[in-house]
Amino acid sequence: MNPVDDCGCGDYDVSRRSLLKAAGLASMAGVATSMFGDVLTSTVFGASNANVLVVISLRGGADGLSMMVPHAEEAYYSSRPTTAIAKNKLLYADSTFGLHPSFTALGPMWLLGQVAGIHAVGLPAPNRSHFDAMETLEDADPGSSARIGWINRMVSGLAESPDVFDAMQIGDTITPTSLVGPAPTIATQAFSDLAMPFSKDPVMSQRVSDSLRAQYAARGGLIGEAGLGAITLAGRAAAISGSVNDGPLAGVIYPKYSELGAALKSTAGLIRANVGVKAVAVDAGGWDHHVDLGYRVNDTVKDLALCLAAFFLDLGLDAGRVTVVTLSEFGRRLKENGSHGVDHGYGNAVFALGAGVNGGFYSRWPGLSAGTQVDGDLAVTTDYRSVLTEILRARFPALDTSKVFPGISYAPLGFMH
Amino acid sequence: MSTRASAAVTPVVLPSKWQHIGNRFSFGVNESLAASIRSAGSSDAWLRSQFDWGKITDTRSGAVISWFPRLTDSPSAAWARVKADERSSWDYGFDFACYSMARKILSRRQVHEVMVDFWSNLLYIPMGEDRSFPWRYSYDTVIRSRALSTYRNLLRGTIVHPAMSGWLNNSSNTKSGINENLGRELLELYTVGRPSGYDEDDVKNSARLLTGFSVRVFDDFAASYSTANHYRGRVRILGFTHANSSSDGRPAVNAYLDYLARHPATARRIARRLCVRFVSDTPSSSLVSAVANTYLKSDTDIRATLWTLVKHPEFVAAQRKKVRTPVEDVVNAARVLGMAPTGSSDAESFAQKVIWMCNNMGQNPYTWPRPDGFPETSSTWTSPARVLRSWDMHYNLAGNWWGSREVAIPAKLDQLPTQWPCTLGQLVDHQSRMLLGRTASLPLRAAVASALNLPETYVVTSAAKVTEWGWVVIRGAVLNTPEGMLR
Repeated sequence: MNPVDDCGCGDYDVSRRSLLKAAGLASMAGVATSMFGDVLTSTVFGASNANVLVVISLRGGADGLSMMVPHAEEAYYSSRPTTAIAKNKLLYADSTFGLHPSFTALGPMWLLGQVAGIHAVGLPAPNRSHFDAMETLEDADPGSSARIGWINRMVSGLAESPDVFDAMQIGDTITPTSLVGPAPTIATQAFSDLAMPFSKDPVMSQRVSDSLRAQYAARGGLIGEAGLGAITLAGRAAAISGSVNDGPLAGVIYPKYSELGAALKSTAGLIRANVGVKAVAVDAGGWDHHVDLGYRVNDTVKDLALCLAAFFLDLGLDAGRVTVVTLSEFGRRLKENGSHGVDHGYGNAVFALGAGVNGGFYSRWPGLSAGTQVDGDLAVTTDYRSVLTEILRARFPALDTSKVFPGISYAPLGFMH
Repeated sequence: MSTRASAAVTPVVLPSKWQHIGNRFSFGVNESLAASIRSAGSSDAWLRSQFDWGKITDTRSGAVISWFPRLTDSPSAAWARVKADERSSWDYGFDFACYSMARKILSRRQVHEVMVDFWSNLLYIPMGEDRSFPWRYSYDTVIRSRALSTYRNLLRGTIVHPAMSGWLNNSSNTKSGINENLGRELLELYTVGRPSGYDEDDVKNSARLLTGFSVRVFDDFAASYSTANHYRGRVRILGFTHANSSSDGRPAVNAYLDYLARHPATARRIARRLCVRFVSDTPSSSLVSAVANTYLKSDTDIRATLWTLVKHPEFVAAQRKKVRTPVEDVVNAARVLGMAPTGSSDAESFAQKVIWMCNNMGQNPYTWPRPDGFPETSSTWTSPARVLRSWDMHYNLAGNWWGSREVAIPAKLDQLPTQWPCTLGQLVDHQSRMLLGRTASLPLRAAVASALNLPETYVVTSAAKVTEWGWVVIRGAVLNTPEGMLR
């Protein structure tokens, strides 16, 4: 799912909601649900109930300065005469930062110390291109020309021969850069999509599988491998589909027509089913706020907060093994533009939630005075790879993080225990 | 059509080089397209005649717009309907996507249609986006009219178009409040690209020069040029400088766009993108250079540039090496199966259902959420999940299992051999020639035999003996061969 990086365009989100609604008629949102056989699945497939990392990409360049507001900075208020958020509206403000008021739904988690906001995080060098910055962020290995994403390196480091269900992107069939690499990964709109033709007719389905296998094996190359991968995947998916409950658990309500919500709902079902998934990538677009920042950030933060709150509830007892981190390709410029929006900037805020998190605000705060800005932007004092290393070390102690993020200098901030 | 190519038990197929041109420069080589290549005398002659697209009558495709009367609403009328809750911007976008898909399926000007698609993906604006939707159809007509002219011409028509101004916020980019969005993407996406080394000052100057183009977004969407909003003063962007001292900045903008279109970095970027679309995911640097050189020498002429591309040995050697995107897959299947949309009255119409078919495979037309357009690399579209969805969809299409209406489907009898009896293996070969333009491989024959639980040598005595079920299994299996996924 690549929800909208709408470049600040009107009520595009509303359009997307209508799209999803209409799509439901044609099975896009029609997700088969069933819930039985967990125990069988865990024994047969050796599935783990180990820790899981969920990476939510806030695509478009989320404005960290609105999400985790540095309210003590005069420069923040003077640079954003129409879009700054007054201190008295912020949630959980300390002497330096406060959360955007639309984070309300995460209040209970915040009070339980399960949410950490980390500021002035980003790429080692400014890169204000959506496309390049996202690629760099997800590849995370600047010295190498090999196109292998960091999540792929992560799951490769956790098992000698990683399983196809170790790393998944939910919501879109296009594999994001973070998942690309030698370890097998899955990108799918929904788990229920992973089926062979005639899946309701076992004899026919088997015949079709066998003959497609023969043809794709003989063809080889990109399409040959994809075909063989498809058959293997469908077989595995069929074997565990009974235990994957696309939920949600009773009483959990995801926001209506939210693509992020739909993807997290599938993700929760997959995690509860103990199929062995270790990392899940989910896209949440719509953060390119060149116009009307105030209104847009309200909407996007509210959706994010509601979805995350529902997700952790939906995980039930499994919430104890799931950590979420939000990433965005860059922050926005400090000074607002002529459209009550903000153009592309540099330093940004990252959020970590759930298992292993020591809640609160964290930052090696560089300040916002003219002397500390980088070309009009918040400076970066913490490499985003250092933030991810801190999470991985806490949640996957067996992992050699130096192989996931080669060559970085790791400086923990203490937001994980 | 004079003779049915399907008449024989073994219909004649195009020479593979001709088939290759047809596969790359159309949305599907059906009987009618194969006949037009044959009657042109060669694929080169066919391509030349297709370049001259205005001379090709295209009545069926031209009539498609009449199925979507709201698409030609004036921007103010469209906005009034949205305000009155009569329609939504999404409805306008959906109409546009259906319109575009139907033209792809029906058009006889296939090379033109392919290039419209190529430029629409490069100079990308999604469907139904709120700040641009009333102008989206108008934007499409600009791309259509210039898709085979020059890139210079295309840039001039698209960059300052009200749809682009709305989508990338140029409508709120004024001298008193710069908005960098379009100025930046013009450099990064539509012309020189990041390797050219532009810096933040270049981006800012690019945005300053683009001030003045006004669209009254969320008012009546009227577009005009506002000299009062135009930033005046010298600008320098890469090697381009302009005094920009006039209150009307449009001549300066045209000079800037011409400069960018003619920049060697733009030539490489456009050439590379063309090579990825029409040759392979990894075109050689010599191919890209050859194409870029022609682009520069011809002053950005699109037909000359394409000609160099197709004449290159690397293009010739790249047969069946590109994986169809889901949109290409659906349109190709519709064309070769002979399914033609005939209207768009309601959600059951084929013209609308094709959108959900594409979506089901992972590519909803015109809904890529970012301004860089859908990826055109095959590797993007070969995830196992996508392949599974395509396999399923090919059977659905072959059997019209989604029950589409307002679709003309040729009678089965007209698509079967006329000489009987023939063996099951011959029947599969017949369909492979019809749908893929090539003979059936042995594994494909075996695949169908296995699915139907019959020997390949099974003798079918007449057309009437081909059951509906068998017919779908054969055609679905043909589309599902590896070669069926490739163009």
